[in-house]
Amino acid sequence: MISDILQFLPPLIKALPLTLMLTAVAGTLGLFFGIILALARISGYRILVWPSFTLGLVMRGTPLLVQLYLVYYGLGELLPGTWVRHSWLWPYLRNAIWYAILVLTISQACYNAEVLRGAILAVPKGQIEAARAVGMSPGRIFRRITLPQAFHAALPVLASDVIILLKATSLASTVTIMEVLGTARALQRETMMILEPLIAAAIIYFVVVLILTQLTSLLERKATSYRAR
Amino acid sequence: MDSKWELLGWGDAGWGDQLLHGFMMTIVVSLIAYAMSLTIGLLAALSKLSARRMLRGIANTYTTIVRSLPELLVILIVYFSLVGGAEKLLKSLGLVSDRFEFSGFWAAVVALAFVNGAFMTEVMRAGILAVPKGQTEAAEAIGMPRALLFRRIVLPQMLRHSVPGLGNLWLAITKESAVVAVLGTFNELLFTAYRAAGVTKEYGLFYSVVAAAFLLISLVSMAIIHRIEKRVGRGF
Amino acid sequence: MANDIALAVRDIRKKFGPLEVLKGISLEARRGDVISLIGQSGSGKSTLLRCINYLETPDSGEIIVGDEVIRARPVRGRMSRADRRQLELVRRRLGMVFQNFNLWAHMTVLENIIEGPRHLLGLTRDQAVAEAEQLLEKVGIREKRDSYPSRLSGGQQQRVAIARALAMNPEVMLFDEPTSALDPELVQEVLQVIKGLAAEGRTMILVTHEMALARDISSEVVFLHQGLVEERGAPAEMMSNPKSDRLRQFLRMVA
Repeated sequence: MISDILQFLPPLIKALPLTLMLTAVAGTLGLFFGIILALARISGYRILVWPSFTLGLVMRGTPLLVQLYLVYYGLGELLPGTWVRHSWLWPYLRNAIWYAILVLTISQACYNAEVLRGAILAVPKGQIEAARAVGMSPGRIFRRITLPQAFHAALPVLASDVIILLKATSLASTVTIMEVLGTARALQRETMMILEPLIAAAIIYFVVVLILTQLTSLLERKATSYRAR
Repeated sequence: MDSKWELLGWGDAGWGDQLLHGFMMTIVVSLIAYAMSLTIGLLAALSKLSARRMLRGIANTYTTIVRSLPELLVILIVYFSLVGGAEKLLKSLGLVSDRFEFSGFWAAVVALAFVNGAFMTEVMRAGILAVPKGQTEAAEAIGMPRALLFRRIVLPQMLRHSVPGLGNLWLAITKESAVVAVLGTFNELLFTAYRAAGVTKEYGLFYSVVAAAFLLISLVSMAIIHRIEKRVGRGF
Repeated sequence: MANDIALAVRDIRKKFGPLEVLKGISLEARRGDVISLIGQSGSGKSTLLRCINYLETPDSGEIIVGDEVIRARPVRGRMSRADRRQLELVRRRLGMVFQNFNLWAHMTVLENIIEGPRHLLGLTRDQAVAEAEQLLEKVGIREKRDSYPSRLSGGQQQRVAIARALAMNPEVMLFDEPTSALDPELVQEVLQVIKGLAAEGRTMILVTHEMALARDISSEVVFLHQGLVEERGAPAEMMSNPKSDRLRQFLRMVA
């Protein structure tokens, strides 16, 4: 059994870059859009608040897998009837990976936005008053005072959300994407071995998450070094 | 547009009754899996805090591994082990008849509970640790046996501390229950829609309905959790 | 005479890691005795008190309550079922009052007091409530019976904690710095209750920084220093005429 498991490790490791790529892309874009969504939420303009609030509610209130099916199959049903079908984009759009990135990014952005919003609101009012008292502009206050502190406060949750994202990329296997779990399931079918490919995949995920956890705790220690201990 | 509404209607032409059944199944699976994960979480949390190194080791291994693997992967592993190994084991032990088969329903429940039990463990462990040590000492000092002490002093306060975490896990388990659609073993909400969409080619329609149904579950749950949090916040 | 001894502590030793906190201490309390343990923080007096009801397990030595020797000898935090059972029964005969009150936060004042009698002594709810009301009367907070601890001042909480301990009808009361966590203006109300108990003839072991209290109510004062008994004797004699330099220094410091 153990040698069976080991034999599956090389093909699965080959699939690992795709898993990592999905995580990195959706993680980075998700953080970027997450900041924007968080700002929209606290902007006070109803036209910004409502859409960002609703998007967050829907994305966090429904299963990621349903979102993925809806976008992948739904858009796949919709797009061929439109101009997109005949444009140069089409060959790319037939690849499921774009749908996966789209869904993972928006989902990640909404979770990040929630964390960042809380962190921004938690920055002590006194510090902002102090910045205003020395005559800083609102934009400058946000960039120099609010955001850095909010970011530090949010960092542990943001980091653990990246690990959750890494695990969530495995759902992409359900729409034909050959990342680690997708590859494992293909190996299941090819070799007719049921548990061994899955256990091999589990080993890979476990090691990657272990490394990521170590990295984030290192990052946290650095990022919070200015605090009294 | 009419034909689309018909697809959601009752009877032979429409999928409405099947979808409603799927909706109920999703809720039932979530409820049972949640109850099971509460039990698993409590046992594992107590094991983690136990003086026995064996128990601590088992509980730590369980939570560390399960929490670092994708839910879908754990669900697949549990499912295939259940239908493979556990079934054979139960049969060879003579506990069940030879015709016994894990239903897709129970396999899904056990898989979901197994995954969420690990997260539940952390919630409950934190809840137990949040009970001030002095209060358990005060109970020890009047000679309370450990079981009574846990039931009377620790459990009520721990539950109160854990309400937000318990609420989050309920929301998580309802959403995760969609993942068991991948097993395709029984007709919960997403798998029902998957079949309906496959037959009718109306993907957007059915997956939108499913998304709306899950959103409804989440919103109602959030409202209930909010009320519980408020009520629990009263008093001491 | 032997059965006149309510509590005996024989040669108790206790280490925390490399640090030897108690280096062999013995005490004997006859019925009605009030023994005050005094000393600087770190002298081991609280640890000694906590060893008496095994909230800390002594490394060696004996605790004897009435004529029962505590047998418990936990191995890596675990003890046999029989020993645990014996310890539970012995603890019911020892009332403990903590520095930080340690009331159960999820129970009202009344529930705190009747918890033990109902579930450990087998009283009915009515019996337990009737006794609890008398105790509340005695400590002077009857009107707070349905409040939660978080609504009470420190002094009130400590008086409830005393009532809770008394409700078990203990043979010996143990007080662990009962007024140290209180705001100065609340100290007196708790001291009054403790004095009242002493006047009733309760057997008590008291760890305290209140020298006036120790002088007024003690039959014996024990001065601990670095885990050993430095000096012991009758309160008036010891406090007005300390023999050791350390006690003299200590008394000057707390005065």
